[in-house]
Amino acid sequence: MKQIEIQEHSCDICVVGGGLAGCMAAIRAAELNDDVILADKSNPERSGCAGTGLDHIWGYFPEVQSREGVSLEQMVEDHLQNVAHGLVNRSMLHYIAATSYERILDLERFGARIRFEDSTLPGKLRLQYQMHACRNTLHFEGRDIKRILTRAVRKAGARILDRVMVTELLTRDGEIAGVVGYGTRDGKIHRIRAKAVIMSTGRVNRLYKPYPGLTFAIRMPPALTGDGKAAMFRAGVELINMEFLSIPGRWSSRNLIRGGGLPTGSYQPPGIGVNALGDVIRRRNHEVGGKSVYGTAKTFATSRSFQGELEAGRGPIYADMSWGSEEDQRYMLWAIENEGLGPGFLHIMERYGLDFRKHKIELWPIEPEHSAAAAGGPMVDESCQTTVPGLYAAGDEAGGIPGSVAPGAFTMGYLAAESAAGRVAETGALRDGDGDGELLDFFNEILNRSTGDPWQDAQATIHNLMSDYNIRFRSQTMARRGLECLEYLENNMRLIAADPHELTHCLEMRNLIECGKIIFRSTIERKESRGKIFQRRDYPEQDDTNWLCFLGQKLENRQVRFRKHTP
Amino acid sequence: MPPVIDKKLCNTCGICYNVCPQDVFSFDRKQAPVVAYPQECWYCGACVVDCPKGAVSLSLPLPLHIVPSTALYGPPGPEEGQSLELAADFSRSIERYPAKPDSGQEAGGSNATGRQGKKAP
Repeated sequence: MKQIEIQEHSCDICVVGGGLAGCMAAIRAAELNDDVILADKSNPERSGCAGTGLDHIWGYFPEVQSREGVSLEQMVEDHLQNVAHGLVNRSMLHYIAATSYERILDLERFGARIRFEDSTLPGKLRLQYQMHACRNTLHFEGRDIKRILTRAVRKAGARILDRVMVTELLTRDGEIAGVVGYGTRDGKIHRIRAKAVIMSTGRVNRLYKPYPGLTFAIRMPPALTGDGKAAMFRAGVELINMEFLSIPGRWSSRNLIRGGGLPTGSYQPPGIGVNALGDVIRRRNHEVGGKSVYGTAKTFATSRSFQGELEAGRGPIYADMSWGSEEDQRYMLWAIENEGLGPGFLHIMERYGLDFRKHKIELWPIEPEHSAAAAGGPMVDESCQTTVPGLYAAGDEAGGIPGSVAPGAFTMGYLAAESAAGRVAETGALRDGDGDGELLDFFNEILNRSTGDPWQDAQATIHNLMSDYNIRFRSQTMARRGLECLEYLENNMRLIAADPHELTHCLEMRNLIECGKIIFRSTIERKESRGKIFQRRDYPEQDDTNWLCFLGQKLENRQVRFRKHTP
Repeated sequence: MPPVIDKKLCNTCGICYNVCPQDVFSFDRKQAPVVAYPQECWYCGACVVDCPKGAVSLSLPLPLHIVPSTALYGPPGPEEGQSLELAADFSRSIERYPAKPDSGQEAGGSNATGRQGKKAP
């Protein structure tokens, strides 16, 4: 019988996932003189949502916003009402808004360029409108932000354990004791003992059928498969908001891969949406209507929607950036170069003889997304701690702060590190934990199987089940059927793997199934509809009396328990 | 088959193999990396950006091709033309900052078509 090799590690603080949140957490934890390991499924230099760039971060910039008459409290209120629709961890949202600028100054200290001579704003900042009703989104040179952060992680003294996919947590007497990961290249089990653990593995990106039919041609990173959320659920952590969709069907570039060319991108000053007749359906970002809490009405909304135009026979829909001035177009080129996936987008455009400055880009509602704007994940307190002592969550991993995105990653990563370091200071020796028994069984079965199901078949099944039973006709009976089918898949798939790369994908299937089951269970429980993020056929109305709350779900003695939390 | 490595340009440094978030390459340090899992590319461009020799390029699978069309050219409809022309002068990257808060005045000339300066058609 084949046996898997186990490598032991130990540290004070283990950070899981080296995206924006994880890197910031590792830097801050190491600055506080703790012994830190940062484990990443790939390589923090180019991993996560900002792998090939990040051109925008929202925040409160006192010297600009206060001059424009917008207070921090008003910006928080705007986010609460118009981005989070009332359902948000308010104290964490306030912390993010209040400290985002401090973390941006950290980025500058690490070597990112954030100031530009052509800006007429205080501090020479380039600020744009994005999701709030005031100009509070910093544009900066972030193409290499992950390389800059990785360098800072090393400089601060944290150890990077790359190509290790953490997929299980170790606990002892209800408290965190470490994590267990799989070496995606070396094929070993890595057991990491730690006094505190910070989870930052981000979103769940491979649940729904991708619209081009290609598993990995999706907008957000396909390497993110809910590994942290699944591991935490198995370890008894309470997760909230898992039933919500982040974006049911974002309008994005139909033939390239994602948001480059989308008028809503913050980098598109002259980006507009037009139908096949050339009618303008969506105006520029800062002109689009919405409620404002600042007293100024936003003009220029159109009553027409992309979907409505398609249904009225006036499709396709295009993003049109061709009419901007040369200066605008130069600016957009700069911004796209610095935004995630932008360099690949421009490279492909050039190779295929396309130019966003001349050609319209066809838009289409692409696959649904989970976790980010919906903020499904572990419930965290004001120190970023989950319901398991010593276990923290930051960024898109954490639940309850819709639209926190990049500033959420930086600020919560920083806060989680401070909290974890505080705990380490009060904690004694490292302890051995339990929790990897089922994982080892899963490994050994695959390693000793010569024929069976390739992971791709399991992935296709998950895509079908989640898209059909959760997206198209969401209801109690459909969710029950979806849950039944996922449990069948879990119990009957006989996955095979020829090498560590394939075994990594098998582990991803296990985590996607776990997340899918959690989603179906919460869907059955939440008996209402809520905006675009949760529409049930059998309960079409929003029910604030009973459901303006976070719905928590956790495992207790192998039983699933639900609990409502007032935000 | 994305990505594609030009073996004549490749210096076998292995950076693409090191940074790829999808781990699509295999590499043995003496030869150009091999694209072992072409179907798993995310088209993020990390390998293209980080290759010191410019040896990596991405090729698109057929479902992601943009089909050429005359519809991809041309200005928006005529009734929008004027407001768009006006707006084209506007760039938020270098928008003039009001001289005084609450003065309601924008400080510039053609760059001053800000949010307050325009009306819906």
